[in-house]
Amino acid sequence: MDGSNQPNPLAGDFLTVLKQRRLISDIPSNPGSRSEFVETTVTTILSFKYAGGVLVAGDRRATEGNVVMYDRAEKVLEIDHHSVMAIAGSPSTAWEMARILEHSFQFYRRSQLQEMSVEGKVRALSKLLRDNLGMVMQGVGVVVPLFATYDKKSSDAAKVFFYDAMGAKFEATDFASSGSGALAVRSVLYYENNWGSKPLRERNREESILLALKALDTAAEADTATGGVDRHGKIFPIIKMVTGAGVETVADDKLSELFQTQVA
Amino acid sequence: MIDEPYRWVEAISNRREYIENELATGSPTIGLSFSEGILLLTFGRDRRKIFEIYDRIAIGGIGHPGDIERLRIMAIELASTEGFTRSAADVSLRRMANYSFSPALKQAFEQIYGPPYLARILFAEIGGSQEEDLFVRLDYDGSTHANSMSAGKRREIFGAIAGTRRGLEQAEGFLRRAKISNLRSALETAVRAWGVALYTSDVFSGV
Repeated sequence: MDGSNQPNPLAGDFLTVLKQRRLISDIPSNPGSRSEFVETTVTTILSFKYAGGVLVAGDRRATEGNVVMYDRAEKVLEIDHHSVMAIAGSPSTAWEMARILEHSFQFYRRSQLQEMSVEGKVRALSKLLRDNLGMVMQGVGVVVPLFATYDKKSSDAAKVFFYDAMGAKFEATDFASSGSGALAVRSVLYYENNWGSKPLRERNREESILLALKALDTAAEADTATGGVDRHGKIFPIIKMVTGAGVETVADDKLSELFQTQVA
Repeated sequence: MIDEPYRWVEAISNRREYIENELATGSPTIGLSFSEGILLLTFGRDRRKIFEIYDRIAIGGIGHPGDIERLRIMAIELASTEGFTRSAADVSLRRMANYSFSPALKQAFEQIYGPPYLARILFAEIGGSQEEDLFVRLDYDGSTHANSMSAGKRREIFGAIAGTRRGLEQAEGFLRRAKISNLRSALETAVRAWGVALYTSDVFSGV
């Protein structure tokens, strides 16, 4: 019960509680020499606004240098009922960040008896990235995430944010991508948004899912670190839709059907 | 003066009397376990009295708002740090009540130069099945009572706190006889039990 004796200087901040209780280790802030070990990385995530809200998608591949380490990695993570974080970079750091965020938002809501504002949530991720700078300087644990959320209070409810490795936050107008296949995905989304059948924001759910599958397939075509769709193993990307009703994960059956009929 | 055993007992006894008086007018909280979940009910004029602690744990309280708030934050911090460092499945009301809250409240109560907690708390934890639903009543002196933590004793489907011992006993007697089938009957039972727990209390019995 140690934490309760000292008032929390920032009421409702879970990270402060964890630090007071020494439950998370401090990251060394002095950049040491870069070690030789090859860390696991995960790649290629995208997010764009469509008619119903925001779509967030990611392939399933985790690599360790040239080696495919895992083909069922989950890079699109539900943080709360209206927020999704997608990760590119080091999964060990990223999953821990996601875990801290998830608990932080819940902790804030439970202790302060109100939901954290979207601005506050977006800022919380910035701070975690900033705290991770010591690792980044040593060349490991780099995370470059996307954060998508649905802010019912805003006139433009669907929100997509992307970050750099130091925690700078940028709000995307229509779409964002990150990871090694990001450039290919970005080109596809830019092209489709400007010269495609219609702008991304006017596309319906199915058209949006289809576009996400195509964009990830394009990235996988040139980038070995992007998994794309494994037709034999029936491994599909993870696609989540963030709408006013909450977060919904698109079922593999649906992805399989769309892929077979319109992508493959 | 406090070094003398008799003085200490007297001081504790005075302290108990003072706290009981402070709690006597509190609005009871009634907890009922039924097929659809757990219902926690109280009435309050000016502030919220039932709170979420973690995925499966909630509390209701009687006492000083400041002390209830301290205990509430303590519970949220304990549950959240446990859930974060281990997993949500490791967060357990039984452990939290017995190993963290009970000793802390007992210590605050018996160190008579420090302030005690002016609070009586009802914890509710929803289990995997109705059989595993747990209610724990935690008093200002650290004593606990659960609807069932021990084998052999018949499990009760309710938990309650009231301002007075008599109010609590009346409510428990009423709840033992209650038949609950759905949310509606649970709600009706809880409202009645609340009234029983409040208006038979010693404070109002003369009115």
